[in-house]
Parts: sequence; C-alpha cells; structure tokens
Amino acid sequence: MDIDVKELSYVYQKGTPFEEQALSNVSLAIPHGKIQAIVGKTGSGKSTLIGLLSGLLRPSSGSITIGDYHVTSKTKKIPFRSKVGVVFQYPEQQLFAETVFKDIAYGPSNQGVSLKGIEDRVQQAIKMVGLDETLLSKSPFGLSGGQMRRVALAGVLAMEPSILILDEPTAGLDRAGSEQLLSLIQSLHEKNQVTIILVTHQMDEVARLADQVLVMDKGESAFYGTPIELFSDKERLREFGLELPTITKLINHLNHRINSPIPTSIFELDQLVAYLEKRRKETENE
Amino acid sequence: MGTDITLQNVWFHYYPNTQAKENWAVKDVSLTFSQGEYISIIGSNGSGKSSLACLLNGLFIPSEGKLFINGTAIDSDQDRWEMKRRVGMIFQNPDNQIVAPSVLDDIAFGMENLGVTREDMQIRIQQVLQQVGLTGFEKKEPHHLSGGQKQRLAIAGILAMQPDVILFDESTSMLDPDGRNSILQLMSELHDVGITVIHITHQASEAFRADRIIVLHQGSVMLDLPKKSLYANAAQLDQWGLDVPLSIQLHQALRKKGWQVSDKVESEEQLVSELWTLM
Repeated sequence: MDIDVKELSYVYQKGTPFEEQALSNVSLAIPHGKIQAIVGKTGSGKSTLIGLLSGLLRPSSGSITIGDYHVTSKTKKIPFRSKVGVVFQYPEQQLFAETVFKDIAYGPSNQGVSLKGIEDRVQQAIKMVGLDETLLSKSPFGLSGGQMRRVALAGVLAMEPSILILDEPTAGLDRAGSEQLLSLIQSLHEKNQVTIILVTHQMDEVARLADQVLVMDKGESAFYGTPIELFSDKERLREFGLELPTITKLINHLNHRINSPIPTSIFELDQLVAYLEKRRKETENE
Repeated sequence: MGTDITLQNVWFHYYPNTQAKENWAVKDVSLTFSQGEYISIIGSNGSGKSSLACLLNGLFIPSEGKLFINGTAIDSDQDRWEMKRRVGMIFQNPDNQIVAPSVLDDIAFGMENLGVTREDMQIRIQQVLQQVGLTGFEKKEPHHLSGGQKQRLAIAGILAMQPDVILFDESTSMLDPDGRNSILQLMSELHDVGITVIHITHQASEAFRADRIIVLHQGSVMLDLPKKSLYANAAQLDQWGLDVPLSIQLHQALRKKGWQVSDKVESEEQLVSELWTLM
C-alpha cells in the first residue's frame, strides 16, 4: 500500500482560544515496503503527523491516500485504521491484560478474527518478536522492560498491519535491547514487506535503516530526501536542531586533517574501513 | 569539608533470604567516591546500577557490608537521614519527580522539609534557578515545561537543599537531543563548582564525559578506571553488553588490517592524528 500525503494540515481545538496549528501543508509519498524516518525536535509536529497517518486524527485540510483509501477533512469513518499499526512511545506502559497471551490477542479479537485465527496470530507474533512461547501464560508485568516492549510490539503485529508506525522504539533500552529491536524492524521490512514509519531522535538509526527521511520543524516539512542528502549539510542540520550520526561525526573529524575528504555517504564501519584501505593502497602505489 | 562515600564489601538484594548470593543485585562492591569527582557508572539493564545508586543515598540499606561517610559508618536511620541530605538524586522520568503546581513551590518543597527559613529560601530559589537556567520560570506550571526543563527543575530542587553529591540515574534517557545536551552541560557545570557528580547510564558516549568510569556487570564492578586508561581498554566493554565508541572500533579494525597505529590510544584525537599521517 503506497502512502500519499498531500498538503496536510491539522489544527488542534479549532475555534477555541486554545486553537493551535500543529501541522501545515505537509506532503510526502512513501512507496510500499520502504522505511521512512520522521525526525525533528520535540513539538515539531511529529506526533500529530503520526496521529493523522494512523487515522486517530482527521485532517483539517489536505488529504491522505493509503492504497485505495482516501481521507480528507470530510471523511466520516477513516477506512485504513486497521491497516496501520502504531507502537507508541514506551508501549510497555500500555500493557493491561493478566497474561501475555491475552494482551497480544486483544487487537485481533477486536478485528473480529476467529478464535483459531487469534491463536495462530498470537503464536506467530510472539515468534516474530523473538520471545519464548512459555511466556504466553505469564503476567506481562513480571517481565523485564525489554521483554515488555516486545510483548507490546507483538500485540500490534498480531493485527497484521501493512504499515507499522514506531514512535522512538528504542528509547530507554540498553544496547542489547536496541539491537534486537532494530534487527526485528529490519527483518519485518525485508521478509514481510511491511512499510515502516520510524519516528526517532537517533540519527544513527536513521543512517542505518531509513530509505528516506522527513524533517519536521514548527509543524512544517523542512526537509524531505535521503539520509545521505540530509547528513551532507552540517549547517542546515544544526538549524533543524539535529545531530550528525556518530560515524559521520568521526568522518568529519578525520576530514579536518585529510586533504581529499572521505565521503560522508558512508554509514557503516565496514564501508569506512574498506574505503580507508583503498586509499592507503593508492597512496602506497604512488 | 564535603562528603566522601566509601562502600566496603557491600551486598544487596531486595529479599536476601529468598535468593542464592550469586543472584543478588549488588555483589561485594567496594568503592570510594571522593568529594568533587565526576564519575560515570555504566552497565546494561539489570547490571545493578540503580540498586547501587539507591545504596549511595540511603534509600536502600546494604544486606551485607558497610557504608561510610567521611570515615564514619552509616548505621542508624538518623545517619541515613543525614546521608540523604548530602546526596541528592535525579531519576529517569522527569514526570515522576515533580510534586508542586508551580516551579517556585516545587523548588521550595525539599527546603520546607529541611526547615529552611523563608528568607533563606527566597535567596536560594533565585540562585538555583539561575544555576539551571530557569530564571523567570517561577510562576510556570511544571506540566507546561519540556522534558529537559522538567529535569532541570528537578535538579534545581535538589540544588536548593545544598547537597555535596548529586546522583543522576539515567536522567537523560527520556529526553530529546536538546534536553539531553542541556543536562550533560549542567552536569559539567555542577562538577566545576565542586559538587560530586555520579552519572549512571548505559550510553558509552555520555559516560566518556566523566573523569572516572566504573563498569558494572551482574552486580559486580568489572572496571574502575580514569577515562584515559578506559579509552585504551574500551574494546572490552562489548563483553558486558555496552557500546564500544566507534573510533575505538575503527582503530581495532585498522590494526587487524595491518595499519601501523599504536596499540593503545587514549583519545579519538590521538587516533585521528595517527591516521592522518598514514594517509
């Protein structure tokens, strides 16, 4: 399902003294199966955009097209809600059921899936997030933070969304927890062809995962392009209040001293090592 | 005179009688924190960092072993009360440590409990607001502040109680980059005025801002080194589930490929200058 957003705007509490334009004229196109990163400072409109893309908010103006579904300010019932899964920030805070099984089963049971179907989906979802089946009968509240987060993610995956929105999925996790989650996102993207929309403050994640990146600033789209383009302009990045990926910082540090600069399009350590090797061999042959 | 904290063979578990000692949260930890140090304690989830933090300010009582302040053992509730006054703590979630409806009242809360006079409070409030960069925010409602501002408010409330030591327990992990940087900057400033800063984190990049780094794993101290020596040994961090700084990964990878770089580097700066001469 391709996503096409045209001149989307949203105003909170319209017509009251608290009226606030949270989003103005944002356009973006996400082809099916891509990883789209959305970045920007706190208060830049990221959450409003997620709310609109997931069908929780209705546009004030502009339109969202997801597959064959079209939504404008006049749309009464938003048709794509069940196609879009949202994993909110700190999703472990939303666990509620007495067992892991019941928590994961809650979404599909609201979608009218048969009992047998629910059972299958729960089994599948718990496998996808890499947790052991024996946890299904346990209370989610006895699990570690990282496990709880994966249970919450399984609950969204069990609804079989074609589009998955993740709001800062690795916030607060240690390296092992973050790594597991990022690999999971990558495999969902590769094996299941799920479109991923990743909201994050971590530029390392953007560099590593994203096909395209949208920078939000004061409710507007300030940049829309590839990570390579975004991270090539340090000044502009500073204006957006964003940091460079760790590897780009290191390359820039090296480039201060080196005459012909190392390209900042390198986002993996292996690539950087290979590049430096090539350079050294060239120097030796001269 | 300040506050030096010493832990002597400290063990801790919430329910010490229910678990074998090898599963305890803190295992045989002996450490000394001197007044004015800037220390990071790093470890992955479940390494015992937060338990250690709570031991350091008297929220937890060691199951075994002893704790000293300036050489005097902390035994009674009275001692622990004194310890809490000397050691302030900033938690992870900014929303969990704000108690009052305005910035002013929130800062006053801790001082009220210490019996500070009204005149003194007014002076201290202005001082700490300036210190954390929130001057002019007195009348604001805390829930209108950003995450980073809320954390700074929490720090102001602690500073008003004039502690010798401030413990930051993953205090930056829920903040955006701006908020995170402002808190890290503030930590350095507090260190500059002589406060002992103990920063508990699982981010290597943040930990390397401190002068001394302690690595915890499964409740035990694995390393306790000045930053310079740790940089040279940082490749070890990987085995305890911690990030190895990227420049160190690069250094190692290049050495494996036969590059003539020194076997131990002390900083990214040194690595960069060595690579430059080779290219």
